[in-house]
Amino acid sequence: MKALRHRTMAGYSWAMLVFLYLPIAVLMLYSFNDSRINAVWSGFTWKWYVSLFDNRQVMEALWNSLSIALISSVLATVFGTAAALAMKHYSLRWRSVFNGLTYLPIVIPEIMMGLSLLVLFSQIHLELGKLTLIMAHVTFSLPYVIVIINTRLADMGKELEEAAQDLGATAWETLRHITLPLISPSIIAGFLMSFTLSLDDFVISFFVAGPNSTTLPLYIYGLVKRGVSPEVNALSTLLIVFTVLLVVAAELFRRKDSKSLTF
Amino acid sequence: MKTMINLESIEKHFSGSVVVPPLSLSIQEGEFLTLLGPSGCGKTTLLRMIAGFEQPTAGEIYLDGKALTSIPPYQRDMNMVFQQYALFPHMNVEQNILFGLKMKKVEAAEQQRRLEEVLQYTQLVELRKRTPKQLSGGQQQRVAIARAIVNNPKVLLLDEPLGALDYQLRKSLQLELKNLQKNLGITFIYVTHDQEEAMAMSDRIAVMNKGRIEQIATPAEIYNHPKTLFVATFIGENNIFRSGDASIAVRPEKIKIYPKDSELDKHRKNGTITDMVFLGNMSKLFIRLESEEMTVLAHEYATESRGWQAGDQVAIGWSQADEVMLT
Repeated sequence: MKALRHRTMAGYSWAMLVFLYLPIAVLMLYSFNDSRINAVWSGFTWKWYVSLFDNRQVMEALWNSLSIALISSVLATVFGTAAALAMKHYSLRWRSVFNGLTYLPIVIPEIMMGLSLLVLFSQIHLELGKLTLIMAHVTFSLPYVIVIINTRLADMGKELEEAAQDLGATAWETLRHITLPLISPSIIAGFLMSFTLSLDDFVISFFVAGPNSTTLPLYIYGLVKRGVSPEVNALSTLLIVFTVLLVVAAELFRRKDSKSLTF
Repeated sequence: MKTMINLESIEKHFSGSVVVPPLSLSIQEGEFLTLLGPSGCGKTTLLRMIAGFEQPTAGEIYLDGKALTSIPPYQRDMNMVFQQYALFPHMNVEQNILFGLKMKKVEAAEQQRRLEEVLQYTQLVELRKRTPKQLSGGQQQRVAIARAIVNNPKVLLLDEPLGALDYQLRKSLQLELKNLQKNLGITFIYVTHDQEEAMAMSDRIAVMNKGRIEQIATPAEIYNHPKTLFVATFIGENNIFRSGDASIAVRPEKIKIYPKDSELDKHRKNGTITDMVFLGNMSKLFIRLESEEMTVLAHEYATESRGWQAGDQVAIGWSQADEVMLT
């Protein structure tokens, strides 16, 4: 009886996973399909991947995506870390106000964020392009960086910093020798998170991209309008694999960090 | 003897409420002074003000004659041993100990010399390359002390440094700490809520309650002649007899028990033994009085046992010299 119930539960869990991952698995599978028609399997091939790398437009979109992701995530990480460190010094009441305002953009519908950024950029007559994309990506990545580092700082408490000061370290020396080394895994996790968010973003980018700043998700969307080709599957597969790797790396850094504080 | 630390009318308010009302205190060079009190009595706040982590709302603190209020913690010539030790988890034992010397830009050869000396002294030589994670609680505690004393501070501040350790280890470390203090001749300001610990180590104890110092004196004086009701009941066990506005305290070991209606004594009261707790070297006897709503606690040492049992009708008495008037 117990074994039966156990098996039913396990079966349910597997069914859940199939439900979650079947669409992605199908997409990945057909990226290796020899036939141009998605519905028919006619043998294994790498050719769609090869043709991707020969495609100048794809390479340009890839370059746009990577450069925007890199610049925006570096900026978001620097600003976010500084903001989290500054927020620590506010009194409890102000800190919760700041925290609340920081988390809000995470739950605001992306389409609103995109629209409001578009309105803002056109108000200040900023031409849509890479610059506006980077600014938008920094905006939506910042809250995540701040949340990750805030959590870490809260776990760390103030005793270690006080101990450093007690031993003769100035505020700057404390930051350099104690605080930054101890939160560095969270800083890296925040950076990887921003990078992933930037790489994957479609909705907000759709509003603020210009003609010469097409990113990969935007390019894929453009292709889909002309029908789903095996190249799209191949490109999506690459994007998914890369994203998963980044997220796993971010999580590993975050875990390493929370472990390092407990004796 | 010169005054090492002098607190002049120190006050601390936190968002409108008074945590420490005006308080003055002076601590001698080489003294082991304990701030003793229940949690929330202001002892930790007082210690943190001396260290510089909290600013007094009013008053001034002097270290060796120098006013401290405008001096940040990192320039104060004293070090603190934190409750949870606050060892830097990303540094090994050596690096933890050297941190203070590096920050003060002590010359490299001198750093090494002092490191070796303090490692020897705290028996950490074999553990020098370990990180805090790889150390036991007692070892971490030794590192915390080594990290503080390597700087040759004028004053060492200790915030319940034994609080996280188990009973046996605490006992042996109490002695170690006391010896360390005697040998180094550093002024110790020690915060604890554990009266036994305070009794065992201190030259003087300041008993604190609601931000005030109720009494400051040697452990023997505090035990034998408590000034206030709070001190009398917080330190050790006590029987408080009230008559009108006056209260007197008599320690349980000073209470004598007689068979009812014999050995007449002018302080005697009649009662019944309600409970007995056997503790090995002695028993605790709880005696319910006839004349008033009160249970008296008496200690009877095993060597003087008269074989009392619960339910016995007895009389209690004490000599007048053992009475302590409370205010």
